Amino acid sequence: MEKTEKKSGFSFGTMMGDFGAWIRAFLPKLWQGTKTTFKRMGYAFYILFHPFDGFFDLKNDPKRRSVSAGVMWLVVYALVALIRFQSLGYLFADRGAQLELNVPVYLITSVLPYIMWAVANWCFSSLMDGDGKLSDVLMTTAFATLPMTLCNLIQIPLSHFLSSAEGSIFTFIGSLGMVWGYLYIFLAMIIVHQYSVAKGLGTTILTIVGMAVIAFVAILIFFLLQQVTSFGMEIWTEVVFRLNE
Amino acid sequence: MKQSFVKALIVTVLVLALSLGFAVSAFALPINNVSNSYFYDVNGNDASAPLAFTVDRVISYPDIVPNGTVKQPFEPVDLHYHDGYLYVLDAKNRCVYVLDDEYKLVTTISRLSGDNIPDIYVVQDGSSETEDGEEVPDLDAGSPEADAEAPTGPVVMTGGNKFELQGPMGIFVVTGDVDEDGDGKKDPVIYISDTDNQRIVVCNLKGQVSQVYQQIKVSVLGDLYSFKPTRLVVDNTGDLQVICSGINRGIMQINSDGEFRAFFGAPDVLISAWERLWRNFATEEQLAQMVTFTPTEYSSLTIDKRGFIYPTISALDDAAVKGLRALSISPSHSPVKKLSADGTDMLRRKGLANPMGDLVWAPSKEVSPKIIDISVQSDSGRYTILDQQTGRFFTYDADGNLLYLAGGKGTSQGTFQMPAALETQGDYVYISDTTAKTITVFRATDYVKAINEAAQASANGLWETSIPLWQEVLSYNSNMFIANIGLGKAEMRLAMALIDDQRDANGMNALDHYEKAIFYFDRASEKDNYSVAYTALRGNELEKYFGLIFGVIGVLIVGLIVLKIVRAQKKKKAAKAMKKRVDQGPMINRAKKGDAE
Repeated sequence: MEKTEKKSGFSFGTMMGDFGAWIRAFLPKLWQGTKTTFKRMGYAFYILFHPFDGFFDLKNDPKRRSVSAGVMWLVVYALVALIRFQSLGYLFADRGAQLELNVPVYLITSVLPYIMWAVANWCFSSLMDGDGKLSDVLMTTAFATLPMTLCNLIQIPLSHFLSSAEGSIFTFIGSLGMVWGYLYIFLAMIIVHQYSVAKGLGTTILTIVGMAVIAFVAILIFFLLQQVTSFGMEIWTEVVFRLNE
Repeated sequence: MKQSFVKALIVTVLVLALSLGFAVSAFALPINNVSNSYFYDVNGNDASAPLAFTVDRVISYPDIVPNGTVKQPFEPVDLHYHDGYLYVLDAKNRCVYVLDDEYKLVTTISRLSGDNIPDIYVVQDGSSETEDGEEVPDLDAGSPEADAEAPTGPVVMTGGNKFELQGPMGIFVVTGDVDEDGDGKKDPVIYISDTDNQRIVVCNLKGQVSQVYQQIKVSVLGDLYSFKPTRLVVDNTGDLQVICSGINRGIMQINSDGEFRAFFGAPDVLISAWERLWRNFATEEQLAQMVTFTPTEYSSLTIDKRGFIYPTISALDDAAVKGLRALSISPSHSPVKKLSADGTDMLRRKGLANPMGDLVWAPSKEVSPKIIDISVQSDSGRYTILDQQTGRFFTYDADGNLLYLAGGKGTSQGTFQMPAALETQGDYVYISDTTAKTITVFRATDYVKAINEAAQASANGLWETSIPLWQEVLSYNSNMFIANIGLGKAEMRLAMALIDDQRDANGMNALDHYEKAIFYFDRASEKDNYSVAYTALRGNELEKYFGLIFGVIGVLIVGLIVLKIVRAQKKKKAAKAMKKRVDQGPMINRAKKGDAE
């Protein structure tokens, strides 16, 4: 008994002990990290009305900067978009689409454009001497989605209260969030890279082209992979068939 | 002993339960007909539905003429129902059969009589599509005269037997002014478009001709044009509305004296934006080579009591059909219209789709509809269209909702090989088939009767009567969303009739009715009406909680102001403390925009 225990140097008890120690060490860290992330998420509300100061500080002030907070804002954006889609009032909801909802796909597709924007923008800005890193662009873009999140949230109770004759209020709030959010994404990009407006506009066009290219390449890779896997599967079935013969 | 008793008991109970189960299921299904009957649900998907029509009888030639005075099988090209009699126009034997309500032959009009029949005046275009016109030059290909003569403009031929019909295409019957046969009823007046003789003949049941319309002078068409009337209707003032083969300017209006009035309601031409642009740059020669876009001709028409004319178009190209189905082109290209006197389209298209037949096809089996006939029920505005392509006939209500459909292509009873004409009368639908040489008489099932009755009650504004009728429809077919719309509308009207807190006989006030209406509109996905009922309910709720809502808002505003003041004071204090610290020591360096530069 003793021998085996020594040889392995590992038992259930010790494992649990180690795990416990690890947990004890990790939990406070996790707690602390979560707390700071949530605290720093709050800065988005300051940015809402002070975009120039806000985005500059978000990038440069180590006390404000938090990529994890940005990721959390994207998560919140996706969740709110999902909840809005499913809980809109009868007059404003698309019931057919609601019935065919795929939750993971909806969540991913709602944030994917922003991630793609960040990646494409970083690609082009590094060619056009922008100051920002990928994490900067991603974080500021995520913080800039707050107006859209808020307007989506406001739309939910409104849709339960308005009649379709007053639907223009509903659509106005939706488009307000959209314009506000897209404008802030643009401002964030200019501020992060220290661009002039003209250069920012040029980069925006390039970035949109870049997004299209990324989408194209992604679809291409997807279909190629599909071809490769189906080819592999075919070979496998053929081999199995021959072996069984 | 005991065991066998238990066994017997179990078997008895099982048998009883089974038979009871069958009995109950037989009760539960109002219609036990096994068929592939269907219609379209709220989402535009095909859903099975109770059988709409049963075949009452199939009339073939021996049924009409048992003795067989004429040996040839008939070709019923047009039908018209008037005042208890069904008029069948036979193109092959060139006569009209008048059938009574038991489909027995009353009389046959095969020979015209009268002193005032003018000689036949036939104009043949060089480009006309009649068989004779095309075959003659082919046979005499060698002779130079035939070659020279055939394409050079119109040829006038007089002659032919003016007492006979030649290739008649349309029939219409109105009630005349005189009662000659002395049965107490005014005699019918029969209008026959005698197409190949290029005239419209007006006669009575004995074939005595009272008027002939031919050589109608139309200035825009020149002196010589072939007047080939196909389908026609006659309105209350005695004016004729005629569809002419080969004339695409719309419906030809001829007044009772035989004078041309106007063309009206010409179908729109569909040209894509790209083609329009291309045409601007093309030279004359290129334009000559391009396909000319001419409006299509109407295939049939009918008229309702109020004088609205319902024409149909059968020759829709696939692009137009696709555009109409996708709602991407204007409904002015629709195959079914409702024209007012000035030619504007008044058809309501509030249904799921444009009234043009089937909505869903199996993959790659989609066909364009070929709407060849229409019949309207004047009282309710309900109309039925016949699609030659699928052999189905579709009935729509006045709003353009599809109510029910039946028919099909095939050789079995209730299907057609080449449907040609459609006529409706009450619960009956008559469809003639020119290939099978039959007239099929359909009788509405209880399901369709219930729909008709309910729709009629709704159309007449009898809201309270319509509610149980629509509920009966729902008991036959719970997918029938039109019934839910009807119920919702009825409930809403009942609510609107009640003032304030007034209660009706059932002890319901306006709000109760509105809530019911909302329930039904929700089921039917009828958002516009739902919104109206909802607004009424919301107004009431707002009134109830008006004080509370504005109280809360007031409190919030006051609270916000107080918060602002408190914050401002705090800021002041902090600024003071900051100033003290600045005076004391070095500033805390923070990255600010101003500092970075």
